[in-house]
Order: sequence, then C-alpha cells, then structure tokens
Amino acid sequence: MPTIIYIEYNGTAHPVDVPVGRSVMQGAIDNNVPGIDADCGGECACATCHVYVDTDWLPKVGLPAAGSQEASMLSFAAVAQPDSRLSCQIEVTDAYDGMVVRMPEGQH
Amino acid sequence: MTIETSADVEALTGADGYVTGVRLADGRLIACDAVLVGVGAVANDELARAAGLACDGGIVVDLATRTNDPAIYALGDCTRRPLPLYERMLRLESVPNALEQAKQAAAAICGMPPPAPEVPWFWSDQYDLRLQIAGIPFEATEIVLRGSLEEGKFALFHLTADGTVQAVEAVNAPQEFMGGRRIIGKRKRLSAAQIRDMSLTMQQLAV
Ligand code: FES
Repeated sequence: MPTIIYIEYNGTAHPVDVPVGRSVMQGAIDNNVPGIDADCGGECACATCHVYVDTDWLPKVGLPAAGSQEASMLSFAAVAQPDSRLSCQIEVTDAYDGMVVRMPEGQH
Repeated sequence: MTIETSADVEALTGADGYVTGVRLADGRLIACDAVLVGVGAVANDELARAAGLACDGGIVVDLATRTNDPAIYALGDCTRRPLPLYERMLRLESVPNALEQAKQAAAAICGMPPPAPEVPWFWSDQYDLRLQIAGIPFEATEIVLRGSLEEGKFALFHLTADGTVQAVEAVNAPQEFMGGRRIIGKRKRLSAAQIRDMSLTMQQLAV
C-alpha cells in the first residue's frame, strides 16, 4: 500500500498507508491526521482539504486544469500557493508511494 | 428531469393503496410510482424540554454549543444558535453548520480558543448544476445577477438597502461562491454595477 507523508503546519510528520483509489484527503481523515477539515466530504465544494504538494512530487501529481472547479476553489482557499491542491481531488496510486504533502496554517 | 416551479399540488391520485399520480392546480396530471414530500422539519426538542433546557423551536445554545445547563451541549439541526454575523438566533439545517458547531463544542470542552466564525453555507449537486450558497438573505432588498443565465454559470447577490452583501447563490460559479463568502464575512458593501462588471474578478471584489 502506498505511504503518504502528511506534514502538519507545526512540522509533525504522519506517514500513513493509504489504499490505492482512496483520495489523499480520505487517507488523512481515515487516520485522524490533523490539519485537513474536508467539510464537504470530498466533493470539491469547500476547499478545506487544502495541501501543498512537495516540489519533488508536484510534476507527478500535477496541478488542476485552469478554470476547473478545483482551480477556482483554490484561488480563494486560505493561503493558497502555486503548489496548492485540494487533497480530495488527488487519487492515490502506487506511483505516489512516499509522496509528501504539507498542510497550510489553517483551512478557514 | 423537469423542475416545475410555481406549481401547486392539488391532490395525489392513487389506486389499490398505491400512489399513481400528482394532480396540479392547473389541471395537469403527472403519473408517478412514488412521491417524495419535502415540507421542512420541526426540531425534535422534547427530550431537551423534558430536561428543563431552554428551547425555542430548537434547543437554545450559545457559540460554544452550551445549553442553559452548563453541563449539557447540543449541536446540529435541532439547535437554535447565535449567528453574530446577522445578529440573531437561527436554526440551521446543514452539514457545514453541524461541523462548525462540532468545532465550537470541541474547543469549549477542551478549553481551547473558539474557532473562527464561519459564514453559513450550503451546497448541492443537481445533475450538471453545482449549487453553492453563502450566507442568508436577511433584509435583502435587491438581487443582482452576475454572469450568464444562458450559459448556466452565474450567481445571484442579495443586497440590503445600504449595499451590504447578505447572501450569494452561485450556480456552477465556484469563484463567486468563495469570493461571496469572504465578502459576506467582511460585511462588505458593493454596488450592483460592481457586481455585474465581469471585468472585475471576484478576487478584486472581495478585497
Ligand atoms: S473535501 Fe471539500 S474540497 Fe476537498
């Protein structure tokens, strides 16, 4: 099972095994990783599952298409950056084993 | 699928104990196998009243979800909670409300600082339409359309007489929803001309 490494804003790292097909958001929620709220339950409607994808992983994971629902939501997420993604929109695959995502200071 | 607005149901027709159709006031009969009735809900606060808790069409709580008995918390659709943004008490039937109250309760119980106040919001997907609603249009006197009804991508801004944005109803318009939420939270005033002007981005409007 791929391991995703979630790093809280305070630097605490949480390596978590996430089944292929789950989203990066669900991996955090299923394992009580703090820092991801996911108020809408993964429907790309709330922007409270915001993460920064580690530079090394960004080319693999990619950025949301311009004008997409995710890009639009992200443009208003708290403290968005060029490496921001909504973690409910990243589906875990074997290729993401070891991926590092960091949590923003807050989700609201 | 068709949505009939401004339609009055006159009767349900049936045979052998099963519903067979809905008759509208204009005489049309719509055949059906099942009817789902949505007419709102009444808070089930009997237990709270029996326990002597203050109720007013819902269990009355504060911003820490405490009832008038400091040892009892209540949250979710069954509570009447303060909405400081709109300076009133309200019962909110929504998932985001229950989540916000859960954070308030957890913070209070753990002795942590209260979470930042949220603008009430709602969302629903109806086929290819994504509805996202921020705020509640209390005392709104004007509705301003931003975007295009024809393209199915627009938002309705509800303003009070002094131009304060009270609510934004967005259809396939996530920027308007997200920006609207921010504008409402700031009690910002906008003119109808500003809202209609698509050369102004929501980021610019929300500053
Ligand atoms: S969980 Fe709401 S946008 Fe990801």
